[in-house]
Amino acid sequence: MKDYWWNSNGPLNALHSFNPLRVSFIINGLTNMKKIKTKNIGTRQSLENIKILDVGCGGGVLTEALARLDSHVTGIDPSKELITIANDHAKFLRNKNIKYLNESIEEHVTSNTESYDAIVTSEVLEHVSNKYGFLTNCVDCLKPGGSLFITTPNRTIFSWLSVKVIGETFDFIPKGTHEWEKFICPHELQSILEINCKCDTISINGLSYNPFTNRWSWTDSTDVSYAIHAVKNT
Amino acid sequence: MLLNSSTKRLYLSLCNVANYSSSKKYYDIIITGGGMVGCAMACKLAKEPALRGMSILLLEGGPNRNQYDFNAKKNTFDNSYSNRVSAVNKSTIQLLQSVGAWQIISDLGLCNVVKEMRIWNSGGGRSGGVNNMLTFNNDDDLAYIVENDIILGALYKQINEEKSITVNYNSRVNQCNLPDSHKDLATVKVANGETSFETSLLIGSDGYGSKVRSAINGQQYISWEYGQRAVVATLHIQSDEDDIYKGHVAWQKFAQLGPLAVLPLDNKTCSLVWTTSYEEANRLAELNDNEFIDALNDGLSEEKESNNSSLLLADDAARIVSKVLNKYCQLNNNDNQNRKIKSTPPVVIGVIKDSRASFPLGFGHACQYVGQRVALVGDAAHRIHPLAGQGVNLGFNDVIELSDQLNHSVLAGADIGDLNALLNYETAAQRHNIPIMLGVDAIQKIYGSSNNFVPPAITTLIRNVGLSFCQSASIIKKLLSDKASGLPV
Repeated sequence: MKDYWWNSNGPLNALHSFNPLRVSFIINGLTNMKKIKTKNIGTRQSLENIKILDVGCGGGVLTEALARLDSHVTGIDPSKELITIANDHAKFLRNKNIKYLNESIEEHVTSNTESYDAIVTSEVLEHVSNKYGFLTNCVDCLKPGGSLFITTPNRTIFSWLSVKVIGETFDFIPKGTHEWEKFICPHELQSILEINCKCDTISINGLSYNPFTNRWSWTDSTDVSYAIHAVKNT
Repeated sequence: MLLNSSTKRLYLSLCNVANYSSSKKYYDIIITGGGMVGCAMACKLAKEPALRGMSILLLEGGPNRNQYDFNAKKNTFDNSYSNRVSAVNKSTIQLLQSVGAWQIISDLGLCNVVKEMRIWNSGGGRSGGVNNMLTFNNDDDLAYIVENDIILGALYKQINEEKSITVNYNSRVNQCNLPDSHKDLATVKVANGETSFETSLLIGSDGYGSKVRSAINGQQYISWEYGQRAVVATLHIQSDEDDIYKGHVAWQKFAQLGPLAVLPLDNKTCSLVWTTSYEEANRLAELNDNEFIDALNDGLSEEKESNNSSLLLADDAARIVSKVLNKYCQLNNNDNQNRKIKSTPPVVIGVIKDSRASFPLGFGHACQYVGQRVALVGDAAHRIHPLAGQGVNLGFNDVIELSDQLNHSVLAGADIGDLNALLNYETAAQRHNIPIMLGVDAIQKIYGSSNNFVPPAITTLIRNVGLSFCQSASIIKKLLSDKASGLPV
């Protein structure tokens, strides 16, 4: 299980190669919101002193990247096993502010309302059944004016083909990882965020993945997968 | 049971941490080999804003050569040129500028621009036949000729100013252990020292016999020897006052035994790179300076007369092709037609004392440039024939690609030794290098060797027609000279 998460040549290599894109998405989003100090832009300290919550951190692939950029990051995941893996691996980080908690967002929100500058939930929402409850809890943890970053696959025929049919047949994605019926379309997500959670959507960007080069890139089409940046109203 | 094993693992890993901190010194990046490419790598990484503050160790096998005295160099004229020079292209110059080394070189005028290249080949059958000289000249400069020592000196000057770089001299790498997973660090042992070093990223720039390369798991290294040696020397030539490009012309002749290049250092001084067979190289080494000059002038100007009728036929065929091509493309190269008369080979009048030397030539290609926490740059990854002067430029290009990738990945929160970033470097570098390597090897095979499989008449025909074709087709010329200058075509 440990090798499953942290072998960058292993089954989750698509998740590892996704890091540069999603980290730069978060940094750009926070830069636009003027949350990043000018002196830190374009350096290894770009997220200095920014409090981030990674909801559904899994083995900590994204969490560690955020910690390396000097943010104060907390990763939560309901799976005890994954948190153990994440904690084990975080030992290799030197002098970084990283913390893992084995709890769900429902538990976490009770003692952490309005305490984070940014919330990241990357490739998580498609596994959640109660999206409305999940998103409200996330936004409750966010300080007013804080940013919410979500990446998730769309629910279209293209995402079904690429994730379920091609991805799982050719082993780009481990079998049984996703249930296509749970996927959410950008407009559905946007309406939950804007109507129920009192957020403003800043941007929605399409994502594409090339399994042969193992590279992610931004595209105009959100048909397969997308990233969304929303800001909580002050 | 599960708990037990994980406690044990924790205990073991704590022990490891304890061991590491006591006996091994840690650096974020270790570069093995302080040649031109290794030094440029160190400088470039130290100046990368994303990598600021990372500790860099440069392990150099040789002794600490006293800092290069640039002013002394400036004040003494000619005589002091070294026999090892590089033709650096535009992208290399951009790299050297970005680390502040080029400014030192150009301010002191220690580089010489090449404005024109003149290439011709042995005429096949007829004597005295420089019938077919291909000239390249760009509005922009083609390349700069700089002595290797000067590039090194300028780079070391920059390195000494960088606080994050430590240089260990007399430190030839003896052994390196590369990890199987990213959780362990790479370790390097130095031949004559007790200490070993640990690093997150090991960069091998230790030349074509690289120790680092052979430590990479599953490495395949494709290599062959050309059976040739390059004879180098620093020459005095007769300067041609009528030549508008005087002092800025690079000559190259594809002689029967291999290409012969004369690169300009100033108006009357040139650097020689003469590729030839082992036997011929040994013979040349035993000649005294005057005999050497005669042999060289013979090699540059005339051809041995041949009575082989098929060679003569091939030569005539090539002439006809070149006439036809010239007729069709006349509009494009009127200038060259007019100036062709003046294009005579240089006349060597002297050779600088003790500047003659020779070294063997070969081809090498590492199939893997990278591995877990390791990357190869320069001759450690690839070795080519010097006929196009591209070897060091390929190395500097590796430096540009690797520092770019590391910069990007570190800014995105990745570990400095992240395998994905290294794999991206490998793809980018190989995509750039392999076509050039194959091209240079093909030119070597066509022009630079006497092989027994293809009848000489056919090689002569291909050589001559090839040159005529390049000369006539201005597009190909543009492409070739752009490719040689290293900028995107």
